[in-house]
Amino acid sequence: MREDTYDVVVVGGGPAGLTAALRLARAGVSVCLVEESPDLGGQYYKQRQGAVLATYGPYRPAGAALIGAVHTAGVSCQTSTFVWGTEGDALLTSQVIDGSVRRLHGRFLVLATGAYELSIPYPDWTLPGACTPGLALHLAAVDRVPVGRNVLVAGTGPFLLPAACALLDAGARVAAVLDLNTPYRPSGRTLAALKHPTRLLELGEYLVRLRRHGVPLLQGWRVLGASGARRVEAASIAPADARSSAGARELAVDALCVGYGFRPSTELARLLGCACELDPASGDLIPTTDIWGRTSIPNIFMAGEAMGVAGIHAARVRGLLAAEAIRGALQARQSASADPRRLHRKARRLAAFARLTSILFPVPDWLYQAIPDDTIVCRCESVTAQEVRRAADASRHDIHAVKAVTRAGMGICQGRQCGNTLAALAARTWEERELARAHLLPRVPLKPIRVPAQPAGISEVRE
Amino acid sequence: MIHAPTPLSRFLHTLRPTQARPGSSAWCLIEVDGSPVRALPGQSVAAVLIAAGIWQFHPHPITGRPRGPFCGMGACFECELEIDGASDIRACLVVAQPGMVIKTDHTMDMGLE
Repeated sequence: MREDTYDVVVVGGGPAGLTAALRLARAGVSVCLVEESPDLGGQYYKQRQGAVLATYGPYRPAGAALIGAVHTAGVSCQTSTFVWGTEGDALLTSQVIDGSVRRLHGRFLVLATGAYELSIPYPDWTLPGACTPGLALHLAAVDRVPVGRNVLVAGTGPFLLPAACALLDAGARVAAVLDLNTPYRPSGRTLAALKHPTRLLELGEYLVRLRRHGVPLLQGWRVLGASGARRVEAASIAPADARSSAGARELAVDALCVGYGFRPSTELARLLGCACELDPASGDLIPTTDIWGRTSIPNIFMAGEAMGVAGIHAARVRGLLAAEAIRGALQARQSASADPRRLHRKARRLAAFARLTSILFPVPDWLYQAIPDDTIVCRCESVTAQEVRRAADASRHDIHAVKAVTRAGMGICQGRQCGNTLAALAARTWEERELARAHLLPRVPLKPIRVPAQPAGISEVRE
Repeated sequence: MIHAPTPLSRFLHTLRPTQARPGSSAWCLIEVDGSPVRALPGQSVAAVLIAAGIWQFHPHPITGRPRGPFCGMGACFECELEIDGASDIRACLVVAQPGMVIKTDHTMDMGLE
């Protein structure tokens, strides 16, 4: 197996990982950056490529500039490569297409593994055409392909607005945007947003564009289910406060994008043994860190959304903080613009905004309890809510037993899509749910790895 | 130095005409289940298929029901298909190249639904 050693290995080529890698490389440190996608940028700074770039110009040019700077600074960028396991403190990686594996050593690790969208199952959410707002945004903004001609965007969170606007830009009709909550109505809680004028301006811009295109913004509404023969043909929606199908309406749409915010992606940190705590916003386990992002293992740092979802600006600040701490520890040269106190202040302010977001866009537990019995909750293994509930009742709400009996959460995605739902359905109390989350363990390989069809050593064998 | 866009620059950006269209020479062809499909080089394979109206990437191995792209970021494995002979490739993580040969595995759909 090929083996490489660097001062720092950064996992994740999104805003946080890029920022950390750049700062460290400019300080003269040898940095390797591992990214699963074929190109750097992560989800937020995902870049247009080839003829799409030539035709439509760059998407989020700040990201293109950052990626360019990372290459220029001499960071060793391993794209189309993901970390699937650990061996001592070494990371085991695999190339996405050819499956070639290697062992990466870093004196320091920066885990900038990002976040996933939080999905809550609804009837027929496995139908083609039902997807996350993130897929819709990427396809529309980066590939310039709308997911449908007539699209419903639903769930909760500020992210629904840019997703809907990107769909409009790509030529789709947006049938409506549904938010489970009522964040855009003036209230005592929304007043706190006035402390963050720049963020408000961004939101306002999206709202104005939706209104200009005549897109209804229904607050306090949710998706009940999708329907269609072989792909989405309609969606039923209802007022959320009824918590039932009372007042349901049917909308003919050909794509349905539902998302309830984001969950930090922490499998690698947990696999490495970093101590974790419960994230009050997502209910997920996140690594415990100090103000620099240092985990319970002193040479492992977290950066970006994997520390708890707080958005693009926080991701970049956290990337700088981790880089500063590592630069200090390696006694590498200082860059002129580094002022840790300013960064800490900024990080606190952005964390306050993230808390406000989770207050304005909460994901209530009843959404999970309201999942109909015959709805598939584990997409990979096709396990229904009823099977999970029965297994939970029969096993005194032990998540291990629920997994073993139903296979829910044991499929190819390793519970990335359903872990939140399994914990919510299997546990009756907050304590039980905390336990359930802790017991949904990351396993090696973190993602499926390609095993060569012809193992090394038997290449001479011919039929 | 990298500057975040200011509110003013973003506003000016929204005034820019967005009528750009790829020229006819920009497109290329890939093969999906034996049929030619138009692709813009640089688009993800998932985007190319969805643009062509193809949403069924594989049948679910247990239920046989059609499945298609869901998360768009490599986490859900719902967009797996065969590309140039390599099976189980996540279409959202691969950029389309001229002449690519794609199989959506629809032949495995044995009508179990």
